[in-house]
Amino acid sequence: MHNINRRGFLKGALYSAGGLVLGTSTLARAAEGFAVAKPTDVHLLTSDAAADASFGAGVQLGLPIYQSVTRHQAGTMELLGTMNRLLQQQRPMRLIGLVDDASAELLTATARRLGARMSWLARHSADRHQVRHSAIEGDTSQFDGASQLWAVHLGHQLAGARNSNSLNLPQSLRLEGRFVSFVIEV
Amino acid sequence: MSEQTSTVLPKGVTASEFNTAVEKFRALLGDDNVLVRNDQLTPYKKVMMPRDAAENAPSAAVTATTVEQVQGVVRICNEHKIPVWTISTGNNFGYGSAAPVERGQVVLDLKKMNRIISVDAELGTALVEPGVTYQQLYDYLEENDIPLMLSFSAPSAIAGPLGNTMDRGVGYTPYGEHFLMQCGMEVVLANGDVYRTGMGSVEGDNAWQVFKWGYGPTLDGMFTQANYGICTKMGFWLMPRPPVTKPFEIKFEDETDIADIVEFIRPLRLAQVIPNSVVIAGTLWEAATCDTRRVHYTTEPGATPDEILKQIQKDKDLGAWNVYACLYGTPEQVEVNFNIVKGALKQLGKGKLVTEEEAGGTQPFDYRAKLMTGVPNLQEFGLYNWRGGGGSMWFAPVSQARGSECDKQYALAKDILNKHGLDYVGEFIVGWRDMHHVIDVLYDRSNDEERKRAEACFNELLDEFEKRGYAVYRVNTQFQDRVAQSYGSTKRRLEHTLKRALDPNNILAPGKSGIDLNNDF
Ligand SMILES: Cc1cc2nc3c(=O)[nH]c(=O)nc-3n(C[C@H](O)[C@H](O)[C@H](O)COP(=O)(O)OP(=O)(O)OC[C@H]3O[C@@H](n4cnc5c(N)ncnc54)[C@H](O)[C@@H]3O)c2cc1C
Repeated sequence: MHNINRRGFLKGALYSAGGLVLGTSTLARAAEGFAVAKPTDVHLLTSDAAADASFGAGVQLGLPIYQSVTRHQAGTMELLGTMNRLLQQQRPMRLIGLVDDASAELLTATARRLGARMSWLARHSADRHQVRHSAIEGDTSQFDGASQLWAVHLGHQLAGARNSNSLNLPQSLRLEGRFVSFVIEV
Repeated sequence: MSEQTSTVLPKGVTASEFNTAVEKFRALLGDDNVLVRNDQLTPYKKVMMPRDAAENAPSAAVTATTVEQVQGVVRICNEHKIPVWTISTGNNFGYGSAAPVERGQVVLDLKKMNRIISVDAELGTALVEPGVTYQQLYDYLEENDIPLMLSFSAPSAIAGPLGNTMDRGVGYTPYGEHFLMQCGMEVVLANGDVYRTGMGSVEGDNAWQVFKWGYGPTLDGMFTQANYGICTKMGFWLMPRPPVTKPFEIKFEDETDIADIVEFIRPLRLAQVIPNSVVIAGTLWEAATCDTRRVHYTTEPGATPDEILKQIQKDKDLGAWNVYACLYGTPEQVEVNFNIVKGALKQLGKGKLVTEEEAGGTQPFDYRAKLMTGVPNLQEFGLYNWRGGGGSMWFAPVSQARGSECDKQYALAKDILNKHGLDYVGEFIVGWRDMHHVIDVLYDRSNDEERKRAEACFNELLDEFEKRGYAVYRVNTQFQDRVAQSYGSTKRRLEHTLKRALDPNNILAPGKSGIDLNNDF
């Protein structure tokens, strides 16, 4: 899967679908809270549809209104090909991802080989009973990790927004499974 | 998130001493080749062992592009007593990945030294630098229409012949015992000398890649799985690509079949009827490599029950054991050998033979066939999604190629793994007369309780196997000192004597294979 979403477009779609409601105060705060305001390309990499939906929603909500995101949801080999292609373009970009363990090993190895900077790398494990996070690089206490909606909050934070506590989100964005999140900047 | 500089230091080195060394690295290699920021070091910190990742965190990573630069790095390390951990392609997953054995070591990443120096199509030899990947070599052979075939480890596309052989890794063709096929090495010693093994020291010689032994002591093996030098070039042999390759599989229904399988394979392997490193893979290994996840069958913690394993076997049309082998040669040779295999199988009276045509491009047959015929792929990474959570340690005891031995090892390993709530995900790789019994101890690294269990499990595997006279051929960096103990103190004393003589400042990868002058030897 490969498409480009403009945040404005997404916002409209979310409101019209009536599924996802974002409090105005939060939106305002998110909009002013970009940690990185550089005009770089942003790519979202996920290894399944559920991760794309929940983590992807968080990332899009966390990005500035003018920032476009290219979404790549695919299996391991395709993601690896995408990452190789993107990192070899040698222009500024941010790759934000939530992927399975097999993909994570290969993507991390690729980042090392190509000398990309990995400012965030963490493991996540969520089931009906509990959610766990462990960071290799980064601080997982900075987002609402205990929530079943952890993936949205994580995406929101990794996109650069400061605070996602008051996001009002539908339970359909819950995510279970074992994942690795990362941010790569070139 | 992290734009900061790493605060990790090498053991016993002050911050100012370290900073001086870093400045010298910069002068030698250029700023871009000296990595000290956290976000540059992240990929060097991702480990799969149970201990805290901080214990393997590097203080810096440097990349060199020439032998002279490697000598320069060694000189600076000696001046400031900085320990340096060398990687080539750096994809040693399950054995320590790209992280150093001890916290604070500087990683010397040789990924940029990636020239294919020569390939001799007639003699079937190659000479490469450390950063060359199998994929790169494969592409080179294809582009230049050179009819030679590679043998590689399963992470073939991204791993490389030099690093894999330095760790004595294995592949799946007739050249699958990689160190056996290595011929000629160039090594930078701790004193900065550049030493060539075999014929490589003879002025004007052209037999470096064809005759291993040279004259006098032959030292190649001493540098593998060791810390006596930094390998900067390696020669090895490549198999002529035969006119016909015929990969096939034999599926066996019951886990108790393992002894019979080994007795059936050994004579065929010894007589070179089946010339390649045959694999005998268990159900879970094969299922995981084609995207079967545990969560599809159960969300209960602990070892996966046998009924579920049987269900997976049925759903995925797998054997309890899945034997993969390949025949190579002219059509006539292959036909003769295939008839011998079929005859032996008929005598055995069990096992379902599957040919490439019958498998029809399905997994796992397809990737197994590629591994046996020298086509790189990454299919086997599916193993990491079986349980998920990023924990993986190879437990790799060696055994005789004897049915009774494999039976004993399999039962013991499965018992211990299950007792600790983990699964037997294993295979046997049939060497000439030995078996590499390779088990992937998979666990959720984000779960502290499971991490502790996996650690206890690995210790128990080592202990119980040792009590029965078995030891592993290779292990991840957390357990290297422990495994060195299995091989006894005489060997360790000798290894430390050599270390003292060759590397008195203890700068080259101290701790690799348990060799470290800080040990009490
Ligand atoms: C799914 C999967 C399947 C695997 N299957 C196999 C398999 O079939 N066979 C197998 O052997 N392994 C296998 N592995 C383990 C491992 O990934 C491979 O062995 C891989 O080839 C090692 O990494 P590398 O080739 O990049 O070598 P590197 O990581 O570069 O090197 C390996 C080690 O050798 C030493 N070393 C490297 N370069 C030098 C040097 N220049 N001088 C001195 N010492 C050096 C270092 O200690 C280093 O840690 C598998 C891993 C995975 C994830």
